[in-house]
Amino acid sequence: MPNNKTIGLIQLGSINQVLETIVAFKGYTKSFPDIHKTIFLKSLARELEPLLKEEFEKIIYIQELDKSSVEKNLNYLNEEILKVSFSVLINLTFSKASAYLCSLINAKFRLGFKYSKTNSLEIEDTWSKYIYAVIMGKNINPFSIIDIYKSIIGNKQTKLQKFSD
Amino acid sequence: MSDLTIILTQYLSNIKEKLLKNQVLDKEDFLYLYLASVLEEDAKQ
Repeated sequence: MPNNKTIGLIQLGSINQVLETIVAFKGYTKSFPDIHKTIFLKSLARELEPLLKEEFEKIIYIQELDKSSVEKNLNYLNEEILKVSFSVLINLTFSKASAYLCSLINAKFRLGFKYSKTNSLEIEDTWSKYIYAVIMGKNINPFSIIDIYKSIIGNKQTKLQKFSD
Repeated sequence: MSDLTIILTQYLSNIKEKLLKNQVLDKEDFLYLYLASVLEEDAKQ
């Protein structure tokens, strides 16, 4: 029986954050060889494509806004982004836009920042809550962000260590 | 002000009305909210 489990990942952060995400996914395929992985990125991450292709089966670059027309943007989103669906969708970007995108893309289960139908920000998983509460806007995080990403995505090769250990 | 900004502003006031009436948002509302948030992030950069 074919395994059709799919993971979608939203990473709309900087090149640095994309690199951290790639590293966090190292070894993931070994633990879950049958899962098809898709990543959503900003076009600035194109220069990392060779590295991305090692970890992800499908890469989707989110087009920049066309400021001349709403319809063009809506058509693009409906035809290119919202046609896909996932077993699990994980948002590793902690921004308003990524949270709305996470709520829009079809998925059975979502992790990370997302918006509810009453437009309130929701975070269900523990490590995303930790990032929101401890890391964002502060500088007091004792863990490696890559290890936190690994914990969020469920990479079994995770062993959280403090920098001082 | 661009066409996009004008339409988004109009649509966002519809969403505000919905929320004030305790109505839930649908997919179309989220599409506009997403576009507005991207526009907001672009403006900050």
